Amino acid sequence: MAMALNRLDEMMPSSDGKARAFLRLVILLIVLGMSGQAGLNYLLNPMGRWGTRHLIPAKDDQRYYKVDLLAHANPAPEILVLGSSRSRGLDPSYISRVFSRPAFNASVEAGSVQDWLGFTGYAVSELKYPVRLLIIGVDAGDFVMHTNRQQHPANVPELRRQLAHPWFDWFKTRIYLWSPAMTRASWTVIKKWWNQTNVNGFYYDDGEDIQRKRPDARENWRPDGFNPYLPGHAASQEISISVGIHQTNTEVQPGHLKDFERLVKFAGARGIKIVAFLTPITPRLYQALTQQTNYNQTLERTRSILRTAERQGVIICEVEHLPFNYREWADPDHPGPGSSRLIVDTLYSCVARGGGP
Amino acid sequence: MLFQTFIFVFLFLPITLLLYWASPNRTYKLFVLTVTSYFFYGYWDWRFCGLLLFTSVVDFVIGGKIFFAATLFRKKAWLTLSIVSNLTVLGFFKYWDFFADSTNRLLEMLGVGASAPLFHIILPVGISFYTFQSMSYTIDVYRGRTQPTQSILKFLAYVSMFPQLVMGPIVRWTEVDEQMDNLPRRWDHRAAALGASFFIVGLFKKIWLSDRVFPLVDPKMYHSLTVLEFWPSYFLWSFWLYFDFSSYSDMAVGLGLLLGIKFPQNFNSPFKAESPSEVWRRWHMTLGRWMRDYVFFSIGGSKKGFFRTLINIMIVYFLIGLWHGASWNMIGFGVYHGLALIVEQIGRRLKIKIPTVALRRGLILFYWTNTGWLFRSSGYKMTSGFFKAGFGANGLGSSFNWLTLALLIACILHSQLAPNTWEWKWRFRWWEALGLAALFITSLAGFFVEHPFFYFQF
Repeated sequence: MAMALNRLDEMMPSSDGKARAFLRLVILLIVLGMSGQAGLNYLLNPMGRWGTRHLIPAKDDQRYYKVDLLAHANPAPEILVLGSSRSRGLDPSYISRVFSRPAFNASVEAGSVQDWLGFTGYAVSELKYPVRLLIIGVDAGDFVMHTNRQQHPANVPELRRQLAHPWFDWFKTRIYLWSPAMTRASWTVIKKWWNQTNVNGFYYDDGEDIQRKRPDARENWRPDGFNPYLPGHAASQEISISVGIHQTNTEVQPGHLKDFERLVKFAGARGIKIVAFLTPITPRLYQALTQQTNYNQTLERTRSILRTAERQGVIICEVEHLPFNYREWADPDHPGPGSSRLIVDTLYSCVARGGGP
Repeated sequence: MLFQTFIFVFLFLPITLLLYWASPNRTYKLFVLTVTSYFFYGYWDWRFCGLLLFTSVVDFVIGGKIFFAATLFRKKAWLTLSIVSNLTVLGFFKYWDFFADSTNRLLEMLGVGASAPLFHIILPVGISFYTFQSMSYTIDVYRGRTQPTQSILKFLAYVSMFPQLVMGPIVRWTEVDEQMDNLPRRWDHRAAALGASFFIVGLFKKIWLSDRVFPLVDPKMYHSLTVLEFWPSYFLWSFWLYFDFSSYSDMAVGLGLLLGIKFPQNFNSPFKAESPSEVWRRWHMTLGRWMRDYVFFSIGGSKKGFFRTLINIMIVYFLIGLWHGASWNMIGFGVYHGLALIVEQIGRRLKIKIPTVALRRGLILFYWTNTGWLFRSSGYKMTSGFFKAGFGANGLGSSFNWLTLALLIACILHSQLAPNTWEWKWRFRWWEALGLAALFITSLAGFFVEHPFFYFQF
């Protein structure tokens, strides 16, 4: 045994000076290499994560648009819609008509509890909007899914400031500067630039009209944050993709729960009402999810969290069993315009029963 | 917390090294090492830190009691208490559900209604490693090979050292006792240069060979393969296991060196072995040595006649199987190796020698590949399904998967010809620094998906 340990002594550099120089060189090269990779990905920003806009990102993070639109909202919204892409179809103009108050849809793709906190804090604390009601579309996996660090409010300074651990979140999102997907995307951007093809539309690269194929582009959003999924939209999902998204653990993430409690407290202290609903999905997707994943367990955990929130004054509204016309849905996850209106009407009844916004 | 994560490499490790090397003396260093190691362990599930602490404190106290006991009887009694306490913890957390379930099935078959309760216990990470490590201390004190330490801090640090806590090597007290007394006061550049090299090489092996390349060619649905598709994949899987374990072993040694502590070698090109017993001197070396010194020799070793030696071998390998996991597969694994070693002993006695090195090593490769499959298979049905495919259930097939075949040949050549990390002759020149930096940066790609090491489950 001692022989083996001595072997390590034999393998070490002959002198302290040589070892020091070697270590310094290794560290220097690593720092240079990592800085180069991160710098390139940051500047090219191929997935629109960092806010740098030297080139038009090939794919956008909607948080930047929403923050921008929210900052310029006129009139100042009194109702905020929060949630994921499943809440994207809730039309603020229709909500405004039903509730008689201006509304803004701040739901974002892959939206999480942290996004709810971020947008609410930004609208109320920084923009000083007279928000009276938060409409939250809660997805079954919102409290159990691991945080999606690639699409996270910590990327956006305005939202990051509202989070509980902004610097930790910042660190965890900046890690993606070194992600292979990001580097591959940057490399694709460079190749396109080199070949002098249009960089815009990395994901829809067939030489056709890019704008038509990028419904999420900046100019396609209404000033009140509305841009619904429509049948044939690029984000339309097959059942299998939806099932894949839900193949997750069923353990509640304590961080998500704490952030939700923080939001409830924040709203309660300012007299802001919260109405939350579990976002509906098509019966076919529900069947597939229950057969292939532990969806029911996840759903039950989320319901239990919402029941607890109800005791703290959050209005919980059941919309899952409304008579939706599923044929108008963009895909199994995203309600169409008629269904979204039905949800808004139901939410209004729930809020009215709770004393109105 | 896994080694190949941003949290570990860019937060935990730098902060630990900074605090550790900034500590003015040995006591502070041991304190930092203990606290950070408990944090590292608690990152999985903080509740199990209590278990780690319990095991350590019990053996620390008993070590002293054994040493100062006036009679041999008392020494034995204290040692028994230590072993019983360790095995009870291990037995409850690792084996209870397995034995309870097996007993229930047996009783059901016999038509008896009684049933032992199942607790569905979560297996604490690394429990098999640290209980063995802790237990070796009391046994060595009992045998008079070492004196008990007066410092509980030193003992806590010894049991919990994060580089080897969850996947070995199983370090003995005698191997680190002196080192922990003489920890370098200042950052040791020589050890750090070698440690960083070991760590980065291990990291690269894990990310690129174990986690990336092998899954690419792993067909997963083995039972539907043709003969020509089956066998290259079958052999290749054992290389996945080979690189996974090799990578962790390198990283553990590297991290130890960064802390100024030298760990024993745990992996030494096992496919260069020419007999089953030699494999066990090269694969998971510290477990093999532990079992030899504390079990095999304790039950008589090879001093009680040939037949008894064979029985002792079987007992040891049965226990090695059980150590690896609470399942019939793992018991099968142990019995398989026990039989292989018995065959080797008989062959040696009859002076039968396999003629060429190539043939001997080829047989070893086949022997170890079967081991890998005992690890992988979830039960008899799965194993029989695989082998049916391997022996023609889906036909001979008309083509190879050339990538699989090429990778298999590369792996065989590597395992037979290339020196392992402990045999490399580092020059610590600029081009090696460049190479290490490149390996490190390319390895970052693997930090985004967590692939635990295979041996974590043990």
